[in-house]
Amino acid sequence: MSRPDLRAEPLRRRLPRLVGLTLVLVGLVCGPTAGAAPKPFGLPFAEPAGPATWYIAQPFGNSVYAWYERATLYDSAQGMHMGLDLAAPCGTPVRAIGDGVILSVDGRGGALPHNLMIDHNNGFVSFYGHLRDRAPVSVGQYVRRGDLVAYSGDMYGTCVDSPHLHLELRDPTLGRFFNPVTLIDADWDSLMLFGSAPLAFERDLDAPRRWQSLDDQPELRLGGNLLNDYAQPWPGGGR
Amino acid sequence: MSPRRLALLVTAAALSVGAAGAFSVGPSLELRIAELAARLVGTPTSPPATATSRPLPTAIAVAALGDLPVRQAEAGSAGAAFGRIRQLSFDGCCAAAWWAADSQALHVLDRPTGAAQTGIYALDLWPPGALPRMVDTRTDMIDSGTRLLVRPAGEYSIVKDVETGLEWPLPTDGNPVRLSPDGQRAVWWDAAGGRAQVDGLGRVYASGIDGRDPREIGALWGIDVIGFQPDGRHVLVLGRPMRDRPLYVLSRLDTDSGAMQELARGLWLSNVLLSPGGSWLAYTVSLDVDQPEANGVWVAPTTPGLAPPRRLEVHGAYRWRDDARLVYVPMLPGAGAHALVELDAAQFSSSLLFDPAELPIRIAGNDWSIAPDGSKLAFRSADDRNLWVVELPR
Repeated sequence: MSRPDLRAEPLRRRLPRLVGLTLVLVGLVCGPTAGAAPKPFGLPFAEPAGPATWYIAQPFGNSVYAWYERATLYDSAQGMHMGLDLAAPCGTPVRAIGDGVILSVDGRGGALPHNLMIDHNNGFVSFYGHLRDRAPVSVGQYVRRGDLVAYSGDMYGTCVDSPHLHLELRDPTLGRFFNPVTLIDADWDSLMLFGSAPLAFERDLDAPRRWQSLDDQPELRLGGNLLNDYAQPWPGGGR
Repeated sequence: MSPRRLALLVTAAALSVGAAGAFSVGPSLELRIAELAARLVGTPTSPPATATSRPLPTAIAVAALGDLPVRQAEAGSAGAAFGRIRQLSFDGCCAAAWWAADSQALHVLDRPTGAAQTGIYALDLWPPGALPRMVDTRTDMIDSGTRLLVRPAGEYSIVKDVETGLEWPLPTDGNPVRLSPDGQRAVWWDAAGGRAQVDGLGRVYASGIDGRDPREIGALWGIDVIGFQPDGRHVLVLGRPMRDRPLYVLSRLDTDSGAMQELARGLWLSNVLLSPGGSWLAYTVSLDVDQPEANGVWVAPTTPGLAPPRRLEVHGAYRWRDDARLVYVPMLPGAGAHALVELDAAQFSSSLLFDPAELPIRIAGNDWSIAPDGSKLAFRSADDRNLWVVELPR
C-alpha cells in the first residue's frame, strides 16, 4: 500500500490525522514507557487496593482454577478465565473504567446475579459481573471514567461465599476477550503484592513457559476450542 | 477448588535447609541498578502512619517505611547493596522458581529450548553464568524433607517411597495431601463436590503414610489444611464453623484424637504461612467492613495463649526467613521500588533489609522466595521477567 500524500489533502481533512500523529509522537517522546501505547482504561474502584478494600483474586486467562473448571464454568471462553476477579466487600462502589455509553444492564454475558456493559467507542466494551444489585444506570446513558455505575456483589448472591467484581474487556462483537491488565493503567506488579504466595497459572508441560505471567495471556474467543486442555497439565489431578 | 487453595497447592514445593554462599557483581548490574533507580519516587514528607482502620495511602505508607531502621551491611561484605545481587536467568525464565535444599540453586519447571526435555532444571548460583542443569525429568509434586513423592492421579493421590519404589494410593479425590515431617502420616480433605472452599462442608481424613487406618478427624465449612506442625501429630486447619458467615477459624487439629484448638480467627482469613520451625504463623484478614481494624497481615504464635496475634502496620506479601523472622514486601502501588522489610516476630520490630533507593528492585507477580537457610531471596523481576537473587543482611 502506498503512503498518502498529506499535502494534497485539504487542511480540515489533514488536521485530525496530523493531531493524532503529533499526539503519538508526543506520547512516544514523553510517555512513561517509550514505545508502549498508553493504556486507555482506569481501575474500577476508587479506593486504593488493600485487605480492607479490594485485591486481585483471580487473574485473566490460564489460571489453575480455570483449568480445573475448563469444561464447566469456563468452557465458553476456551476454558480460560475471561476476566479479572477483584475481591471486594459487597456493596463496594464500582466505577466506569473509561468514558462510554451503557450498552446493557442485566443483559447477556452471565456473571450473575447482575451485570453491566459499557461501550467505550474505542474498540472495547467493559463488562462488570457479579454485581449486588441491578446497576443504577440506563441503557444509552453516557458515563465518564470514574462515574459510579454499580455496586459489587457475590456470584452466589449471598455476600458470604466469594464477594468480588468480575471485570472483562471485550470487542464490540462481544466475542473476543482481552486481558484487562494490558489495557488498564495500574501498577499491577505492586497490586500483586498480597499474601503468602503468587497467584497460580496452570502449566502445559509441553510448553511450560507459556502464559505464566499476569500480563502474558492469550486473547480468548467466545465458543472457541479449549486452549488449556493440555495433554500434560501441571499441576494435574482432579477433574 | 478455590484459586486460593490451588495457589497453595502449587506453591507447596520448596522447603528445606542448606548452606550459604556469597556473591559477586554481574556485568549488567550497574546498568540495571541505574535504570531502576531512575524510577524511584521522591522522598516522602507525610507523617508516619499509625495503626489505622483504613488502607494507608501510598505516600503515608512509604513514610512509615522511611522511619524504619535500615539494616547495615556486614563487615567484610561489599558494604553496598550492589554487591549482593545476581541475575540467574537471561531469557525470561521462569515463573514460580523454588530453592534447592542446599540453598545453592534455584529450581524451575522448564523446557529451555524446543529440543530440550521438560523437567526440573537447576539454576546454580556458582559459577556465575552457569547453564541450566537438568535435575529430574519427573514433574511430580515433591513433598520435600522426606523421601516421599506425592502425585495426583484422578480420584487418588499416589505416595511413592523413592528409595523402595513402593506406592500407596490415598483416596483424596485429587486434592493435595499433606505428609508429616517424619513421613509417617498423611492428611487430606474431601472436596465435597469440588467447591469445599466456598460452599461445601469439608471433612479431614488422616491415615498412615501407606493408607492404613484411614479415618475422619474433623469437618469445617470451606476447609483448608495448611500443613503439619513439626511434631508430626498436629495439623493446622482453616475453615468456617458456620456455613453462612465468612468467619474463618485457624485451628490446631490433633490427628490422633480429633481435638481442635483455636489459634486465630478473622473474616476471610487466608494466606496462612507457618514458619519453618513451626513456632509462628502469618496470615491475612480481609474485607471486614464491620471491624476494619481487623484487616491486614497478622502474626501469631502457634502455641495457644503464648502471645496475642499482632497486626503489621503495612499490608503486603510475606514469606518466613526462618522460624522467627518474617520478610514482607508492602503493597504500595506507584511507589516505584519494592521494599523488603524484616519483622522479628517475638519483638514485633521491623527493619528495612535494604534502602530501596540503594537497591530498587521490583518483583513481578508476587513471585519471590527465600532460601531455606535464610541467606538469600530470589525474585522474578518486573523489569525483565528474569530471575534474580539478593543476598540478605544477617
